[in-house]
Amino acid sequence: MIINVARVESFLNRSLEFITSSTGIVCRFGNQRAFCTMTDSQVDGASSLPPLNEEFRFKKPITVSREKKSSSVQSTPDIEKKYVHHVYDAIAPHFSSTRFAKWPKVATFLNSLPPGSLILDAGCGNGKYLGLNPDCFFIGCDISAPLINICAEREHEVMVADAVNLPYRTGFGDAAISIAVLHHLSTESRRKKAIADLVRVVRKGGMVLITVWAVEQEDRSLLTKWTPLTQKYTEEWIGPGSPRVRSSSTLTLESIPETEENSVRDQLRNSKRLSEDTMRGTINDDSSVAPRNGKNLENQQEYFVPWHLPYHRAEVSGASACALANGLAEKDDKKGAVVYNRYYHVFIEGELERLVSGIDNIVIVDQFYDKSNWCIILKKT
Amino acid sequence: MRLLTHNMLSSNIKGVMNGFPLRLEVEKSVSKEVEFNSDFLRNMFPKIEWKALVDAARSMGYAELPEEAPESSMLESEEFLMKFHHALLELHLEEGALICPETGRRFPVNKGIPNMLLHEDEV
Repeated sequence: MIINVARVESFLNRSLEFITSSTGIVCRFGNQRAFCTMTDSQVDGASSLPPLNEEFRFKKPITVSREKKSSSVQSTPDIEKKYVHHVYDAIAPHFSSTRFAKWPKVATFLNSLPPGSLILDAGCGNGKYLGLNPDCFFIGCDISAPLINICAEREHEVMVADAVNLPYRTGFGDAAISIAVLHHLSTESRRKKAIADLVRVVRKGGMVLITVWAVEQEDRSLLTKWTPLTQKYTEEWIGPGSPRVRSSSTLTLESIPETEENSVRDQLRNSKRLSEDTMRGTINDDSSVAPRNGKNLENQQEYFVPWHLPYHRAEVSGASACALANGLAEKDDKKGAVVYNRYYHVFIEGELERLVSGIDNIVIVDQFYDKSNWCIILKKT
Repeated sequence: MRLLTHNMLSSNIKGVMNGFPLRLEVEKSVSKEVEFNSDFLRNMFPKIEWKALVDAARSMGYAELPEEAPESSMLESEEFLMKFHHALLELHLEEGALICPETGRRFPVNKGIPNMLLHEDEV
């Protein structure tokens, strides 16, 4: 079914009522062509987002299939396309308007660099940090074209590029920063590759600052607003009765030998229930799961984190109509917002250090926790 | 896109041995004044692949740079630094493309923004 522009405009005017379709929808918005497929999202079950319900303490976990299409670490997994790239593209102006506070630790790092330094910001978002040190020259990149457009409007030197595969010559920069980026990468090998690239693109003696969201959030109540994801790697999934479950974080695996079997049963039960439910799943009323969720949440690192895009912003964007039709976003009339989910792999204490331990041409200059973020500063040797 | 950025960019398509420098396809270029900072220029100079800068500047219509990579003593010459400054920071490619030297693949540049994203089959 093809929805033409006139119909899109009229249904946007009717407060985002949307028509579901069982086939692909092609939406044209001005010069941009957003192609949305229903089939992709139905196959992996990610479209069955549970309705938001503030009464429940814990979000019902979602099973997300991680079928790997390409063996290349640089190939973008579907979960990132749907729950990182498309989301940021849709929310870019609104997101940018909320991103103005310069985080002191990042500012300190940038201001500590020698005047005349060339600083590379990989995953620069709306360009918040570009130009922060007026004596330095910044080059930013982000995978989101809408966000880069916002940077360019502010006269920054930017490009659209992938932080997992920086198109830069080796050793050109004096410093590189990766602020709240790596937690959007869904596999450990992609996270390691992104870090390796940050190190590669700076000169010998160059500095790298990385910050990521921490599991150990200062505001613990935040986690109740997030949806934990149970992972299912089709190649790595080991069936019931097996004592070991491979997850993306080997730290999780080693730390809970006793409860692993319980985790496997929970995940199986959850994924089975999810596949039986239709689009709007029933709220979890299995009391034996909820308390265990609470225990598992200590080791839980994969989440969907909601972004509320106010209706008036969503209509401006246009991409929300597609997202709603695809089930990748939901309406929350109470809040008057389209709710998107962003994929996060939040980092546990020591994880950044572990990830860089394999890189032999760096030293760790500093590592710290600040305002719910884990941070590390490296120097290339 | 400034030529400073261009001097850093390299095609990272799978299988490409040396993706630098990208050839410029210029549809629209502009010059935007930038504050002169000789310290910055002296810091940048060792990073620059000189021939790539000269060729890129020429494709943008600026042929004032010396062909030969200058000796570092040239960095004391204000006249040289001003030309270096102009080529490196003031020339902008607004519309056009960057071409991979090995595959010929075009990376489009629109409104001064290069799009360096690879397709699925290029990673």
